[in-house]
Amino acid sequence: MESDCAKKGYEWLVLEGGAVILFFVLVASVAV
Amino acid sequence: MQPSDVSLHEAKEQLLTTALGDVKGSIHANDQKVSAALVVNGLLLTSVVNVVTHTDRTYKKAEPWAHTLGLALLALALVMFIASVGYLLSAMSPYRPETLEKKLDGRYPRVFFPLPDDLEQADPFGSWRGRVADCIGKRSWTSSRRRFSSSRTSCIWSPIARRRAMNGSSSRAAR
Repeated sequence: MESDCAKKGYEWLVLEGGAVILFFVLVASVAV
Repeated sequence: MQPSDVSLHEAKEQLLTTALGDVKGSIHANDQKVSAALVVNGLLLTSVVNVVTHTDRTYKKAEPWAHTLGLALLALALVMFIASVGYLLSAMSPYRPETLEKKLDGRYPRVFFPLPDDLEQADPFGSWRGRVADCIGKRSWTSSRRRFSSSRTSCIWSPIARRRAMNGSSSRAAR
């Protein structure tokens, strides 16, 4: 049993991780 | 009360006790997972801040489209960070489903998912002693504490223990 809030929190966390990874990739590509 | 009623009653109590233990385990597991997710959030934020503080020279060298894209991605990550932390905190905080009292038909008021306000109305020490005494069946020990454990918010177990004690006394009287 998992609350809806927890599920939404995990989903937003995954999206946030994606955005952060994209940001890192962008910074790395610009720096190179 | 007939013996079959007593056994049915005990079976119901056992089922309720098992359900309470199940719910308790689920809540603990949920809390631990949410805490881990919050820690991951903190790690992500720390790493982003760490990288941003070191991108000074790179940012100046970059093309305008890269500036825009980088800032947009940062803003996106910030919004998602706030949303994720908000949802996770609300998943951790105690709450009571609004429809629960109706589903239980008022039989166990404020037993499931008690809010902090409900718990603070009773003397914690008194209700705890009453709870322990009810659970081990020493009713005389709690006679001075009865007013606490009979309050509507005393504890999860006291309604069960109280009815068990009532059953015990009635069966003793029958004998």
